[in-house]
Amino acid sequence: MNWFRIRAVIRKDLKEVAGMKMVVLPMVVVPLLLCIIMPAAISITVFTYGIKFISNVEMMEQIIPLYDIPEVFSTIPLQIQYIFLNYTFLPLFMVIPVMISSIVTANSIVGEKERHTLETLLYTPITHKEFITSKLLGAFLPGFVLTVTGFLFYFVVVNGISYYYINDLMVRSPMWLVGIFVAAPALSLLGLTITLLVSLRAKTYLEAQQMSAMVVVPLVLLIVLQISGVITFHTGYALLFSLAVLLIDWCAMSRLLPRFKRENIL
Amino acid sequence: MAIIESQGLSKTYVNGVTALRQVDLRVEAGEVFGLLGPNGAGKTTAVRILNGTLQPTSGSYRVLGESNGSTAIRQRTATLSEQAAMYSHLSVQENLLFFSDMYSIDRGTALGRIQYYLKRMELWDRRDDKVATLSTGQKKRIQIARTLLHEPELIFLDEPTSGLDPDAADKVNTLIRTLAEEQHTAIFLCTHNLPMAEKICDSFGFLSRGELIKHGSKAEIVESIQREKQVEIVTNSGQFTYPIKADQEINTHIQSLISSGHIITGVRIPQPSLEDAYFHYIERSQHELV
Repeated sequence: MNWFRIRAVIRKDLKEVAGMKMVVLPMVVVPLLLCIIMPAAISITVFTYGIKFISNVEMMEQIIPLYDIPEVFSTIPLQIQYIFLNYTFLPLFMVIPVMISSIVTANSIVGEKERHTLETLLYTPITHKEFITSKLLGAFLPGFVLTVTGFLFYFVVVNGISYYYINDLMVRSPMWLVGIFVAAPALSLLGLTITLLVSLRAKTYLEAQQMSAMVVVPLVLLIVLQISGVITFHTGYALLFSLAVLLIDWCAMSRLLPRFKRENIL
Repeated sequence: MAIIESQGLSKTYVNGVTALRQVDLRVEAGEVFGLLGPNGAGKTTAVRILNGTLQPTSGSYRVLGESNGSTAIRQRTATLSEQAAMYSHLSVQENLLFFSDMYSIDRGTALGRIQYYLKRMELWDRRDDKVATLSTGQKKRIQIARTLLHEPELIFLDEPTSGLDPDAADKVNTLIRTLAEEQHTAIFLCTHNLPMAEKICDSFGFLSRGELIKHGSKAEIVESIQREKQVEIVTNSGQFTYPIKADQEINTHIQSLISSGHIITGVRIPQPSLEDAYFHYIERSQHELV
């Protein structure tokens, strides 16, 4: 494989994406909301006004014993806030890598097909392996980098606010490490795989993006089940979940990639 | 020496459409070859197979001595097609640098060639502008610069002037022919634009419904039409066309027209053109199919 060509395609894809408002906008707005605006608003509101604004507090109180909460958070408002900022935000966070990898893949394959640049690219000496590798890496890397960067912002904002109010750090569950470094890449790959599958049929970038947006549905379901107390997240479960997603990724990729030939995508 | 040779080349797509049927083709080095045929004849499929982008269903081919589907074919050739576009959100120079990278051209050489070709195409001043801001004709010239960057030995042109106005099309044709001659690059042109092909090409192939129905130089193809000789006599009251077996019959027809009160203003014995040959073979192949 010619890595010089692979790097060139990745660089070109990212440069192109950076110039498209339609593509960049959700990639900026969603992480901004999830990593800074929402957690900051929740933290400040709870520290200032308590949990008066939360409906169904009784239901939240029932799920408190299901989680490992550091003893320092002894009051119910702090415990609910801890659960919310650590356990509920994590699956929400996973939307970022899935969404970004889907958007970039949809743009770099179906978008290129739609704009007739894919044909020009496939007429160059790029091999099938180089093409697939560059498109996969080009979609995976920005999702991963933005997830890690988003987490760093989240960590600083949430812990900065909690340190200001209670002299302690609110985001400190080891589950975040599993989430960011294992679950996020696994889900990012899932988003990629589904978008690749969609790319074989979709005619336009918007069609591909809309079809692959379905990937976030299971994540939303996870959040609902977790808030309602049906399932409880722990580091071990998060690791098992990530490994299961990786297995699905591997099975799906090994079946999909042989179908992903020049003839089928041109 | 042949630069393109194919035997029994056929292509049926997964949806069941057969685009090429048993195509045997030979294009000699130094030739500008024109593959002519109506829309849907299989020209683009032929290009995509010969440039190694698609695999044939059956048959074999060699391009510049490289066999079926070799990446080396795409390294040594270039393809400019009707629809293939450049990246509109990138600048002219960014586009050309990207394609230089695809052909593994080192940055210094690439920058030199980009400057040379953009100056030739009169687009050097637009190098930092996004491709989206260029006119159709300018985009086509950038595409030509892109195809020449890695100094290919063979260029596949698939409807290169489609969408251009006659003046821009003429400039592109002249540019292609000139650059091909300067760089000794062979050209494989696919088109349904007969006047353009006649102006650029040395030899021709007619493709109809995936079959190569005629192949040869213009003289060979035109001679091959076994058409009845005709005379066209133009009079003050219109034009009369008569089939003739010998030249003496022309006088007989002229005298007959004069005696019936016509004033002769011109006499012509039409020679079949490449266009006549094209329609002759294409229509015959379509009748045979019916």
